[in-house]
Amino acid sequence: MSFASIDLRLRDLLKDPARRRAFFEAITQDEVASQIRSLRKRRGLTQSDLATSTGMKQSAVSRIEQADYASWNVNTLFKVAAGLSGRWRMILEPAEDAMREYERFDAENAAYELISETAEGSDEAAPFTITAATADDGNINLGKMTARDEDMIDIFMPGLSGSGTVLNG
Amino acid sequence: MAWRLMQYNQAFNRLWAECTEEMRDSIRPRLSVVLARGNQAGPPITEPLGDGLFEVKARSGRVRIRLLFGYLPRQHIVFVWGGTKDQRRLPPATIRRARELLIEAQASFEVLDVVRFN
Repeated sequence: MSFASIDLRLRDLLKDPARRRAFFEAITQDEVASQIRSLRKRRGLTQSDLATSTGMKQSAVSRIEQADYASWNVNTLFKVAAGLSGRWRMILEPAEDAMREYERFDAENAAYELISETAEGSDEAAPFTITAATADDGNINLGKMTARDEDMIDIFMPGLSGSGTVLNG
Repeated sequence: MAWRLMQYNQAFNRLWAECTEEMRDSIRPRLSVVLARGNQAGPPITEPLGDGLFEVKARSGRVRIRLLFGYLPRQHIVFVWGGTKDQRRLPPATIRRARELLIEAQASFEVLDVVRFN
């Protein structure tokens, strides 16, 4: 039983112009759908309400709120914004700026270790997995723990005792 | 602090190993939005399944790629299940299992937190 970080490997994707374009387009589609839905909810409107005020069909509003939908045009988006008493802010930024941002997010996340600080009693900051069994089924609430790689750990807490093993992750 | 995407019991890596690069590219944008916006990335990017379990999915051709996850303290997101089911809806047994794994992950996280902050 263990936690591990996730590496989306965006670096390779972002280097490839065709894949990068698809990536940025997909994110924009997601954002458009998410923002329309979010503002509609905030306004307390149903899809039918929005459809009525924009002269669209409810099914069209539903489609435009789907993350994969990409067939909207600017006029439709303006109409929806008006129906929601909102506005669009469009930002066209250089791909390299966006690439830097996503690469940084991804690299930091991939390098992240859930336990990067040295635990008390441990000689190194290597990530490790802990399995712990407690007397109290499932309610693991530990007062004090000393941990050293490949050693047993002791758990001290009034009315609750147990032990576990620290394993190298 | 940025959001952190984690996986429990290699749930993400197992799914990743099953996927073609095209399938991976279809879900990367969505996961990137989750990474950047965390719990602000609501529907339609992530869908709540109840009891703290959420789903992020993408489609690559006819294949639906799905990841089930939950939120942990201090802006951690943990993926507990991943699959490439063709069904429109996930089987209830899969959702039940994912909930169990999420509870397990939350308990393990609490233990790790004690080590980390005490």
